[in-house]
Parts: sequence; structure tokens; C-alpha cells
Amino acid sequence: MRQKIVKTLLVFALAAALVATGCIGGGTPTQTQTETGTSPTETATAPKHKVLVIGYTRDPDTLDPQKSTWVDITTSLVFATLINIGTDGKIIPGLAESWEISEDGKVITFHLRKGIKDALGNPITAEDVKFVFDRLMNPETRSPMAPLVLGPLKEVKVIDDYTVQLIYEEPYGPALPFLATMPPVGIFSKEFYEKVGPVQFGQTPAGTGPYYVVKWVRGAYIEYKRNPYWKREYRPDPALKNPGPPYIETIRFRIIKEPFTLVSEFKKGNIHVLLDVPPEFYKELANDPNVEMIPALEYVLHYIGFNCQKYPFNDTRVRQAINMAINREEIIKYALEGLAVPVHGPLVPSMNGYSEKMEEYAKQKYPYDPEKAKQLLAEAGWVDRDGDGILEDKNGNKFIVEMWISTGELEAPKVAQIIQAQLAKIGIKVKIRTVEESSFTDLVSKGLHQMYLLRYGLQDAQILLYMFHSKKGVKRMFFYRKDLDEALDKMGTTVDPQERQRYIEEAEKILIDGAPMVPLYARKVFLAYRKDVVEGIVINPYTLDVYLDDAKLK
Amino acid sequence: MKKGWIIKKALSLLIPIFIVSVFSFSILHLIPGDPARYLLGEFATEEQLAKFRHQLGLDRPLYIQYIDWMSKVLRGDFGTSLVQGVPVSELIAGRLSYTLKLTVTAWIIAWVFGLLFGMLAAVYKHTLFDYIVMTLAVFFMSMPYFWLGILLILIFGVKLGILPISGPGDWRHLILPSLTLGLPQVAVIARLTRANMLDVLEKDYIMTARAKGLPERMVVYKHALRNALIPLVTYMFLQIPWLFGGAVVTETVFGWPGMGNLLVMAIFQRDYPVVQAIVLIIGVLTVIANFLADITYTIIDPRVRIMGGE
Repeated sequence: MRQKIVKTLLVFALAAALVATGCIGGGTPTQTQTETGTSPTETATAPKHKVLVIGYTRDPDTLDPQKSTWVDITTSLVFATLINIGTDGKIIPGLAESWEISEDGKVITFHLRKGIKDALGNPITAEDVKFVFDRLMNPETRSPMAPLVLGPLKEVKVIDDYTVQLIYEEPYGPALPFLATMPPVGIFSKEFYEKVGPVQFGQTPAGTGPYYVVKWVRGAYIEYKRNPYWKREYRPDPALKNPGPPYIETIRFRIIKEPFTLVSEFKKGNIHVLLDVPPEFYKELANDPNVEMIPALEYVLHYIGFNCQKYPFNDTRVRQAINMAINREEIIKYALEGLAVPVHGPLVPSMNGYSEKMEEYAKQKYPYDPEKAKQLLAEAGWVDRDGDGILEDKNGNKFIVEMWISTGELEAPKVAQIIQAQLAKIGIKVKIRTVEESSFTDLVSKGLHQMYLLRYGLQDAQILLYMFHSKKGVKRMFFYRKDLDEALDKMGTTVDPQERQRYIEEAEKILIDGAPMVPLYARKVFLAYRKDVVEGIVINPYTLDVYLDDAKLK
Repeated sequence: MKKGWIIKKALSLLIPIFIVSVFSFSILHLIPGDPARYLLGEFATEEQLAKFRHQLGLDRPLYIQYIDWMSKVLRGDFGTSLVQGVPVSELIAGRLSYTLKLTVTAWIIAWVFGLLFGMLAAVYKHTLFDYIVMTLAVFFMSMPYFWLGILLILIFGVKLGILPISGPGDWRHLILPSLTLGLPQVAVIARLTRANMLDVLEKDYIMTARAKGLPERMVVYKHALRNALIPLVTYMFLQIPWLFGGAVVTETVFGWPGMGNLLVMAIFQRDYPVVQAIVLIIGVLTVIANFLADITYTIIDPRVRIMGGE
């Protein structure tokens, strides 16, 4: 929905991004396509609209999902995966009709459906699947997502035309959820790729998904045509009914970065779908009788991170105190127009592996209680000795800290100011410093910060490994514990979901107790579409994928 | 005018162009964040990043990279976009026509209306018309492009619904973005024209012309306007970089697929070759515009040359 700045973490978060679609209902589409015009040969039953226009705020770097730093609806429309996560949260078949995992968890065998064709009619067999994975594994491809999606994948073996094996060095915990949602493992035809070459493949890709790209004018629009060979069985989701191909023949993504301009076009009816309603326009569009909104929860956690190795945040009590001094409801009400849900634990409800139990544990452990926060700080030696409202330690150093915020987060200044006010109540003076987003993570990973405001996201609890593991993770909060590393390693190598859940919760508990951060909230996002133009758009609440299979134009 | 003087002048451009090239090369290299980190993502190990930087030659000393880049540029090769994998010249070519359409239209609007209103304001000085024009001029000069664009969208696109709001298309799609870019320039030119006209209208030769009994129209348009325009000629060139700068913001507001839009994206992605090429082009254009302003001024007004120590 809301496509923000490329932070790879967030990229992963939205990896299975959104797809929106429209369809031609009833009559046969005419050759002349106009955005909202009607064709002269129109009959009473034919829809008035011929093209579904989707507003899009990003200018993609490339549409090659294996090379792009950002994958979302623009690529998930084009590439179908071997398996899927259904709208009920369960893993369901895809291009593979079945699969099995070996005893030791190191080999996953997929059985492909017979007779699959890509959008241009090229047959798809196990050879193509191997080609896709080999290309993703090849360091020359330089896929930013490969390490995450593939994990310790060693080789891909073709058993016969319809059977293919993924062989891992060691079991990979999140293998199935990632294979089910990530466009970089979306299948395309080797023959097609070799015919067009890598550059054109990145500009007008075609694959096994419900649509393929016919034209991309950089900075202006991307145009898609439906895949005539698409069948419902390639994504047999309980929420979808259309046996295939999609009803809507042509989809155009219009690239407009400025939210005001985008919403103006939507209100005028030149754009029919907004993937992510800018929060400042939410109220206005919610009251528009022609507009339908579909809500979803982003699997992105917004949080305050501490540098746990730097004074004063190297003291657990100080970090815990701040956890009790933050009033999330206030932040959501005043900085986010109420469009977010408070989160207390390290995972967001829409993430795979989220545990209500641990969320409740965190909520009980750190209720909003400024008085208790002050007590904890006093225990840690922070008392207001000179009566100026700011705490001092025993050496007389004042509790004045810098909090970094990123230019990539539109709401960050507002959120930061509320946090500033809330911490002032317990005697901590926060100075806000804005850092340009492209250099933000670079500077943070050098440990130059004291505390910062940012977000992390991924559809799976595996995010915890990337955020907190001392060796495999990124450098953010510098919170390193042996028991945490062990729990995270176990989580990463356990394929059985129930057993894996145990390790996830173990890691969560260590993170809640140690408080390297203050989890704040997850945003509610809304897809908006014009009821007078289109119907039948479906959102998968678990992956935030937008399905256009059943969508029809009016 | 001696040829030698122009050649000397032209040679003196090499230094600013060299400085511009160094600047456009180093500007992104000197701030944190790099394309390796952007492209390989957050989970890339230091070894992978180092290997990638090595492949792209980003680990060489900066001056070597600069020489390498410059020698290619001089042969007309701007390199390949690190992020999009397409030759930079191709990326720019696809966008240049849009930016030119926008800037040229804005430029025409600026001069036609700027001269017209400036002249009329001078002729009818201290009337209501003059006050309205000058007040509006201050208003448009102080409006940020971004805000002006949104205002125009609101009025003409949303409320009145008579003009397309965004994106490329037929000539009507050009109106709002080029007004956004052009109106502040109309204001500048109107004020300059008015001031120069008033200046000239008080000169002795105008008195003489009037005394000779020439019709007022002749006096104003033939004698006064021509002389009033001399200082404006330089502005014609000096305004070019401003137009390109304004285009960056305007294109973003209107979803106009020009170079400015590309530049903004490339900066975020730390796409060195793309940023270097665009900044260099705009920088060199600026230097050349200044040079042309100098030359024309000299041609129009020989006094400058004498001052130049010929």
C-alpha cells in the first residue's frame, strides 16, 4: 500500500506487495483503449471503462524482481510463485501442486502442474524453475534479496520435467513463507529471458503471473496486459472465484510521487485505485460515497532503538524506564490521525510468527507509568539534583540525549516531538536530529547514535535474526546476548512451524526483558478504489498482496 | 569585435567547467551512503560490499575515478546507471525532451507576459493596474514552486476541472507545469522591465524624441523599449539554470517524467553515474549561459568591451 523509501528491510516487509487489478466484465474488449472514454461500439452491457488505472508513488529502478531493491505489486503481478500464502494465512499450492520436505529438513521437493505456460505462451517446466533459482543464486545477478529469500540454499536439482528439488546446506526456517511470497522467486521462462536479454527483461518483463508488462515509460507509467494463459489453480485462494484469465485486459500504473497530485487525480476519476491512501487524505476519502476503502495492517514495526553499548543506554534499567514513559495511544492519536495500532512486543500482529502471548507479556511488563519510570531511573542513579527538571547522574552529567530521525519517514518529526514531550515529563531532555535517509543506516551501523526512530519489517519473525543476531544481523542497537543468538539460530533452522514458534517466543522474551528498543506501533494502511469504476479487488491480510483476478471494470 | 577576444573569453570557460566537473563528480562521493549498500541491501556482508565496490571500481582513489570518468565523458560516454543497468545517455535522452518541453514553454510564457506586463506597468505607472501587477509579481516571486503547483492543481484541475492535473499527454498537460515554472519568472521579468523602462523614459533622448513631436507609441516602443531591453538580454541566459532547478520540483509535483524527476530518484539511490551526468550537464549549461550573456552584452553595448580593457 504505502510505498515508501527504499530501506531494504522495509522492502522485504512489503516484498509481497500489492497488486491491484481491474477487468473487463461482460463484453469483449475493443482494440481502442482509452482511459475513461467509451468506445463508439459500446453496448448496454459493456463496461464504460477499458483500462484500470492505479496510482503509484514510486519510480521503479527496474522491473526485474531479482535485481530490484524493491518488489511489490508491480512485479508480483508478473511472476507467479511455486506456492502461496492464502488469504487465510495458510500455505497453499501455486505453480507447484504439491511439495514435501525431507526428514532432515534440508530438501524440499516440488511437483509442478502440467501444461503451465507463461504470458507469451512459452511452456514452463522444471528446467525453467532451476534457471530462475540459479540466476538468483548467481552472485553476478547481485540480487539484494537473494540472501534472505534463499538462505542456505545449495543447489537446485531437476528430477524430471515436473519435479524439482531445492537442496539446502542446513534447514531454513522461513523457507516456505519466503518461497510463497517473494517475487524474486517468481517463475519465468528461460527461453523468453534468453531471447530478450537482461536489460529488456528489466523493462518489459513477462512471466507466469496474471499480467505482463507491455510498455514502461520511465517516470510516467507502466502498462500491463492480462496473461491469457493464467488459471485460478496457479493461486487457488479460497477468496478468489474467477477460473481465469483475469477479467480486466489492461492495467496502467501512473507514477506520481506527490501525494496531493495523486489524490487529486483519484478524486477526478483519472486514477481508480490508490494502493496506499496518504494518511492526511484518509478522512476526506473515507467520507466520499464513490470510494471504497480496504484496510490492512502493515507488517512493519515503528520503534525507538537505543545504542545499548553507549552511556546512558548501556544500563538496562534506563531503557526499561523509557519503555514505561512512552504513551503509544497519544502518539497514534496526535501524530498518526489514529491510523495505527499500538505494539508492545518485537513483532507485529500481521507478521508470521506473531505471538499474542508475548505481546501481552510485554504489555504487562511495561505499562504506561511515568512514576515507575522515574523510580527505575533513580535506581540507576538518575535524579534531578538541581531542580531544573532535567535528571543528572552522580557525576552531575545531565540526561540530555540526541534522537535521530530519518528524512524518509514523513511522520517522524511529529512522532519525535511527542516522544520528546513524554520523556521531558520524566526529566529526560531529547534533542531531535534529522538525518538524510540514504545515509541513516550507514551512520547508525557505525554506532554514532544514542537513540533513533525507525522501522523494521518483514512478513516473518525471521526479521528478529536480521535485526538482533550479533553476527548475522545488521548493526543497529548493539544488543548482543549469547542466549538470544542461540534462540535466533534455532528459529532460523527449524522448519516445523510449531517447534519454530517456541524459539521465536524465546527470542521475543529475551528482547522484551532486555529492552533494546521501545516498540511503538504498526500503521493501518488503506487501499482505496472508486466504486463507480471497479469492483472485486481482494487484499490478502497476511501478505498485503492485492489480487485483481476477480476485479471487474464497470 | 576582435575574434581574439572571444577566443580568450571562451578559453577562460575551461576553468569554471573544470570546477563544475570536479564538483558534480565529488558531491555524492563525499556524503555517506553508497550504491553498493543500496543495491545489495542491508543484509549484505562487508565482503560482498567490498567485492561489489571493487567490481565497479569504487574502491580506487577518488582522483583516479574522476580521471577515468572524465576521459569517458569527453568521448561522450556517461557510463551505465548502477541501479537501472541502462546507459546513462539513454536514460537522459528519454527524459530530456520532457524537460525541454517544460522549460522552453515556461521560458516563452515568462518573456511574453513578463515584457508585456512590465512595459504596461511602466507606461501606466502609479495607476491601479501598476499596483496590481507589482503586487502579483511579489506574490509569485515569493511562492515556492511546490506550493504554486499545488495551488494551480487545486484551482484549475480540481475546482474548475478544466485542465489535466498531471502526467505527460497532449499540449493541455503542459499548461499547469509550465505555468508553475514560468509564473515566478514572469514576475521577475515584469519587475526588471518596469524598472528599466522607467529609467529610460527619463533619459534625455526620450525627452528629445518627444520634443520632436514623435507619437508617444513610437517613443515608448521604438526608443524606450529597445534600450530598456539591453540589461534584460543577459537575464535571458542567466535564467536558464533557474529553470532547470525549478524543473526538479515542478516535475515531481506534476508527475512529469523529465530529468529533474530522474535526478531526485538517482540521488536517493546513490546512482553516481546518473547524478554526475545530470549535475554536469546543468553545471556546464550554467557556465555557457553566463558566457553567452557576457558576449551578447558586449555586442549590444560596446562600452562593456572598453571596460574589459581591450
